[in-house]
Amino acid sequence: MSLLEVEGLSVRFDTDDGPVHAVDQLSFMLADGEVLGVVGESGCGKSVSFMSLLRLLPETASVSGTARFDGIDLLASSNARLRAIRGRRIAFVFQEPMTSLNPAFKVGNQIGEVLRRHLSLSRADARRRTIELLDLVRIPSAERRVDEYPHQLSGGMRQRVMIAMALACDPKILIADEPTTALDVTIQAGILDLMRDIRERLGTAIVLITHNLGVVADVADRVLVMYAGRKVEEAPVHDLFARPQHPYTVGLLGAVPRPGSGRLQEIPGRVPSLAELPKACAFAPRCPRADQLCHAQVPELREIEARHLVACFHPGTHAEAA
Amino acid sequence: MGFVDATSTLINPRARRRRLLRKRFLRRPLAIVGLVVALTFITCAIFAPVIAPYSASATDFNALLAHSSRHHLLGTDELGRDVLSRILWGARASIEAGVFSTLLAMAVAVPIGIIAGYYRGWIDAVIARLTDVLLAFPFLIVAVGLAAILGPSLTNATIALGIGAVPALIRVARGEALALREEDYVRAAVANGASDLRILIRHVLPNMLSTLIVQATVAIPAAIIGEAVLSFLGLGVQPPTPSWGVMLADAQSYLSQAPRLAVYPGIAIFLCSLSFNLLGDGLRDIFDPRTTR
Amino acid sequence: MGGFLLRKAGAALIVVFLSSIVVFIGVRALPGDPAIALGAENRDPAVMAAIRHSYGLDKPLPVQYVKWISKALRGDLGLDSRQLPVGHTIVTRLPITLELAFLAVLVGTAIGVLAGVIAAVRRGKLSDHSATATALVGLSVPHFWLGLMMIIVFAVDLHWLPASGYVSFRAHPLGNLEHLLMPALVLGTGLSAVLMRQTRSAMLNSLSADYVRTARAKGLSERMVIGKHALRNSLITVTTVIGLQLGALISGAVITEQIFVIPGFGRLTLDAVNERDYTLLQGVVLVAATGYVVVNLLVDVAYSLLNPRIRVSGATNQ
Repeated sequence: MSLLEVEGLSVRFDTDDGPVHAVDQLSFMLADGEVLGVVGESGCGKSVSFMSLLRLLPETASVSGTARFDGIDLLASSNARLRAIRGRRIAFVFQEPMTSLNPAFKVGNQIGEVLRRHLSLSRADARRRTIELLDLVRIPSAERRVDEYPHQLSGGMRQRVMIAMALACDPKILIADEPTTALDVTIQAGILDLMRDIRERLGTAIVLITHNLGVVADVADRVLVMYAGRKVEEAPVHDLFARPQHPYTVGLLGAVPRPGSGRLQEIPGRVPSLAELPKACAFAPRCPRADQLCHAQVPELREIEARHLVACFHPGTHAEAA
Repeated sequence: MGFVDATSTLINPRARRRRLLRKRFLRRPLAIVGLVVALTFITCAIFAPVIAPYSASATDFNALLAHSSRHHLLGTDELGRDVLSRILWGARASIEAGVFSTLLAMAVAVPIGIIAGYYRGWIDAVIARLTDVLLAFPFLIVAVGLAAILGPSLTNATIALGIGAVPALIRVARGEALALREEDYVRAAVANGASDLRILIRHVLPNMLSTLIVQATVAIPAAIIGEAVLSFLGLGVQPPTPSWGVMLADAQSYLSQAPRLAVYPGIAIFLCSLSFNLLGDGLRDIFDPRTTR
Repeated sequence: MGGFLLRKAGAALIVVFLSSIVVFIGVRALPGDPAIALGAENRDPAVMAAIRHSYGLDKPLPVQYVKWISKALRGDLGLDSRQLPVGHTIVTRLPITLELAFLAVLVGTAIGVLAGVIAAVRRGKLSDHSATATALVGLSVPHFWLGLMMIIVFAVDLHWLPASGYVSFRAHPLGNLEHLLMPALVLGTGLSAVLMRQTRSAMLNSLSADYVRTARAKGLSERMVIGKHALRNSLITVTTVIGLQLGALISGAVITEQIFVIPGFGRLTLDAVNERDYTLLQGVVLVAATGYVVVNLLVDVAYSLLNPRIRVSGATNQ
């Protein structure tokens, strides 16, 4: 039984220059305790999709579709109900630890806020639990750090604080939006270790949004690849890396630096503007396998092998034209 | 393959920027209104001798404190002088004080600020400290003090207002110069061996222009109000020369009999100041690189 | 924080010191022979010389300055042209202006910050546009004219409030507030207009900041998100603005007291200038400059309390 079932999620922004279709008919499921990697370039709609689930998008966004979580449809819920879920049963970790913490308040205060709000803990209890959480995310000298301000912590530690804050009420789902992008490579590894640890110890389902395939290979159970607001491939992680079917996925894997693999393969061209929804495969202009069919119809998702879906008229593991 | 004319305005960056600014300006009705009204006041000031129905001191003892009539659109004051004409003539004093004092302040403050911000070192330290001390004295207080020293007259009031505005403008100019000297094109010019003067005139000054223009639109209404204050306190324009401040001072004694004598000059000051503020807001908006419209 | 404050206090002292010199020289530059103002109406040269000598006006300037400043540091600001001790006059008049200024800041801040927050939260809607328009009007209106208009409406026409004058709080609390209401409103208008715009701008920045998004993602109520997280960071701007507007407040007080005939410190300054009363003027401006610097120091303290980055030093990079 899935924890989260999203069906036909579409997000449209009404901007001064016209509508922008950030997400188009996205559907996926998340099981209990599963780690789902969501991969794609900047602007492909991955962050927007998940922020829309908790209604964290600006007012110019129109969201449609359904998102069943624990028996209720998040997209149709009232603000009050969503507020009860945010931070308590579904928690977010954002990309920029530098700016995502309020500089005016102590770290302990910010974590304690969540505890007091959702679990009605007393100040003393909240403080104790906060120190526990800081220990959980492996921040040294937690008792001291509780009373410090964000600017006194390094980037890596701030991100751990964010994670601690997200885990405070033991949520069912932790959505981590590019948690390591703003950090040094060496710190990244630590955060990823932490994620693995969390999944093992607490059984929290994690959605790991990233544009870095290396990150996904490390931690995820299943991977979802997005392009121009649509899902183009979905598979268990080993299958995806062993047998990528969509030319975009193939291209992404070719672009990952590996010692001895020769020149990096670039994917030529650029992400299309999301202002009009093309009535064709969005990747066609850049695709080495594209033919007339690809430019005329939108490919549907088809199951290529067990639990491995791809939206392409010419799926296959090869890199060049079919 | 077409032939591209390298001198076309489509490629010339300066012309393109000017067109962009003009387009943005035209999308802001409030700023346009501000510009139009401000220009109207300036025109009235310049052409007062031609437009005003009466001279500023022409008295009519048959119509003292009269209400508006066909002969006197806004009525008359306690000496039978036509209020409308005095407001038009008063615009001269106010606009003159406002505009010229700001120009004077700019002429003094900008070079000092640029030198401080660009060269840094001991000269910057001295100028910055001095400016801080001077900034401890509020603008109007300084203007009042200087006007008291120099003696009451429009010219002296203008000078006093100008000098009062200098410290704040030095700070602005210094800040701009400080930021601009780190810009790549300035560094490139230095590396190419351009003389300091050339760099300052060709690179630093033009890029400060937008900030300075915005500052001017803030300084001018402050100076116009400042002139009114000085004249109100008897330290500026001396009667019978009209100025909006003098009219307000005279009106104080007739507040219960003829309150409208205080209303009209006040509205004039208000509208004039408002128009420059609207213009300034609009200009600040269009010069801001973050603006999207 | 100690180091920061010490540096600010030191800078403040230097500013006061330099101001005293500026004041001293400035006052000497006023036209008009002080000897005449000090009592020699008959302009007899011998009498004038005697007066000059008794006031030490014939000694060289630096000597005069040192004499003056050393006495001032001991609290003796000399006697004015009417043989009244300057210090005493200042002490009786200063609290009146302080009360006026306090009320003005109270009114101005309350209205300005509230309007700014509402305008930011309801950005683009009617309440935002009307608040912004009102603020613009408040900025452009000459305050002494506003004062005159209020007198016309509330005192002359409606007889609700007294047109001028002052009654001390201890003698008659209600009367005191009645007399100070219009002046405080007039004086506070400029401050509230500037504050409204700055608060709105600061709040708009805060509201689009990442940490506000985090606060929302934590499930906090809108009231907490706006009132605690967004507002707190805007208060830093508010404090800075109040500090910057103090100068305008002082000059506004001078004119306001003139219009409403309030026997305060501001009017004292104006009288001193007009009467060419050297000693009084020196004392008055010195106190004003010192007071201004002290208040700025207090604003700096408030600022450091609100902004932890100044109070506590930065990250030890791990």
